[in-house]
Amino acid sequence: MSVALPRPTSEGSARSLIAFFATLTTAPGAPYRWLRYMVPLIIPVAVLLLWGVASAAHWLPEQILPSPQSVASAFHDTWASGELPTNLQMTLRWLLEGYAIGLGLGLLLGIATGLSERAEEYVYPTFKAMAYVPVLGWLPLWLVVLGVGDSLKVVLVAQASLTPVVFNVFTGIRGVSPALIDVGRVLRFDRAQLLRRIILPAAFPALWSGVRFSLTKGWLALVAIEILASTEGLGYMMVNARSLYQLDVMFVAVIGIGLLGYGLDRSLEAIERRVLRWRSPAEAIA
Amino acid sequence: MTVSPSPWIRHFLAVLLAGLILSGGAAVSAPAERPPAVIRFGGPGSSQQNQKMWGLLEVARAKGFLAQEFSADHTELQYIGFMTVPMVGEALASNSVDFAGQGELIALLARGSGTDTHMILPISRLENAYLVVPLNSPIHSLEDIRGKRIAYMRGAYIHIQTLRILTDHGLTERDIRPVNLEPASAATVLASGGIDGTFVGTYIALPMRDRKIGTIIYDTHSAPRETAQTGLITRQSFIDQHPKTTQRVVNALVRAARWASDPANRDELISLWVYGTDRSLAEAREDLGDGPLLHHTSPLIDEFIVSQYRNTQEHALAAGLLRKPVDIDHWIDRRFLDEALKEEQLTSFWPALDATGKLREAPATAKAAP
Repeated sequence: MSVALPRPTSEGSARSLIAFFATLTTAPGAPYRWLRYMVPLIIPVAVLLLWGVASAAHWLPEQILPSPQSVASAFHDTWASGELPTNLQMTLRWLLEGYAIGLGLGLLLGIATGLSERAEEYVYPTFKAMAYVPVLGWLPLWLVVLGVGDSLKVVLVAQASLTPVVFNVFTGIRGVSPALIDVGRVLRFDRAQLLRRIILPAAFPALWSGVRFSLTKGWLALVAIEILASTEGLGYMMVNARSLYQLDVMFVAVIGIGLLGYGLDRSLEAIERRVLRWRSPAEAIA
Repeated sequence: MTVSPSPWIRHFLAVLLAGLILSGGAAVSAPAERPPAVIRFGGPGSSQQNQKMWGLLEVARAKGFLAQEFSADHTELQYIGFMTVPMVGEALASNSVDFAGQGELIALLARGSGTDTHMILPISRLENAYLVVPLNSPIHSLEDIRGKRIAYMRGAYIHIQTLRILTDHGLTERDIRPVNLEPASAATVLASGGIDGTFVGTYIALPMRDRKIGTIIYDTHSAPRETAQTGLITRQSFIDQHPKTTQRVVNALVRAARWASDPANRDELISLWVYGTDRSLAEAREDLGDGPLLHHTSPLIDEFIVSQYRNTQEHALAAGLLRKPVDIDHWIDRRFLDEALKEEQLTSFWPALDATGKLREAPATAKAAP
């Protein structure tokens, strides 16, 4: 390893320490580059430690804050009994089905309103008004129309994830520089080519943030619905465990919800990186 | 499993104790135990009045039996209504209330989760459940619900009542298609045909019938074993530190029960139960019926109460709601009630019910009771 390591300066100020840490971890070929990947873990590990200390020292009664060990064993029990996998599977199914529908419709609506001012005039105001009603405000109506089965959850997730996609695609397309479109015209692109080669790539960053944000929205809506009208899913598992004072099981569900949401977001991020391979690093940052 | 109080609570109690000793220094013939500066009562609150309590505890609050008992002590009585039922148990566990009204199931769940509580007297008895089905439903009796989509709130008191009703009619949860719904959504979904029926309490069932959303095809009026009860729950640590205060609270509740059991106070009793809630007088009157309210207002820990707790426990264990059994005989602490009945000379005032909810005495003697 031929990288010369700078020594911490004698002043020992926080700033130089951070700079030193940065050189160790971020410079190409730096020996402790892997440390960087540990940074996002600092907070979770700290929280875990605090939790362990808090429960060991009985800062809160066990009925309010179960110990990490009891949550771990509840995780094991609920996994072995099939409770956790079943609920996880239901939640994931509702989410993905609803999200796929919401995303598909949202892209169509967003592109249509983005491209055509007439479509905008017809659809956009109504859509905007509807979007301001919280998803749970629709619950009583959907309960009457759809009952309490799978379709209720799928429709509400689709509805919650639809809105951000439409808004972002719309603003993304409207924000495409006219100069770019002129280039397309000079190259004699037809409408389909213009859309595929110029408008969609240029609108992609906005579109994609809508895609990611809508997953979050759909996910939050699903957990809320499960709490109110479901006998399955992680959200149900969470509230049910709370009302039975099985706080360890509740923590399993809470952690499961957090991890699942995080995992889904990371998957979208991975897709984004793949899709944006063609962009130059400078452009990607911009 | 013992939960030792955290250091700051100990510190707080020490300061409290010091304060009490200093302030009590003037009194020459100080009683053996001074009540705490604040006694906190909790229960599920009403949407309109957050001090509203339940059953006999509400009588003792609203008619001033508790205030009177502690009027000379400068003790503040706090009544805390909680938004949801689970919050009541969490408040008991975190030492935020001293006494709480809790239904059978939730009280056993809280005890089962390790909160060191005791049930010291029942404060409400014989709460009814109803089965409501859509208008023109093909369901005409309980036996018809086999294979149907029936809604009730899992893990709530109505869940245990549902299990009791099913058992009494030779059914189990597996014979129906249970749907977990909170009562307001159940009413909506019932109206649109999304479910075939719902088990609910009085104050959901009667409005549903009156608004022509559904028909009541079953209720628990003639089946006491299918009704729900509420107990007054307190923590072991409070009993240990304030046995006299606990006794005085129970004394006041027994006096409240005596007042509530007087037929002359019937109208006032029902209206004070209804006041500040979403319920109507007509609904309460209909649900309570025309007969004497003696069995509703009895504070006795009779065979009926004990067997209801046992039955709740059996169902809760079988349904996986409760993870380990509670020693019910140890958990129910009769000392304070027995003493209160003696002090108030009411040992033979209320007729005891047997395990099935019937009078233990011959019917002839029961008639003599008010």
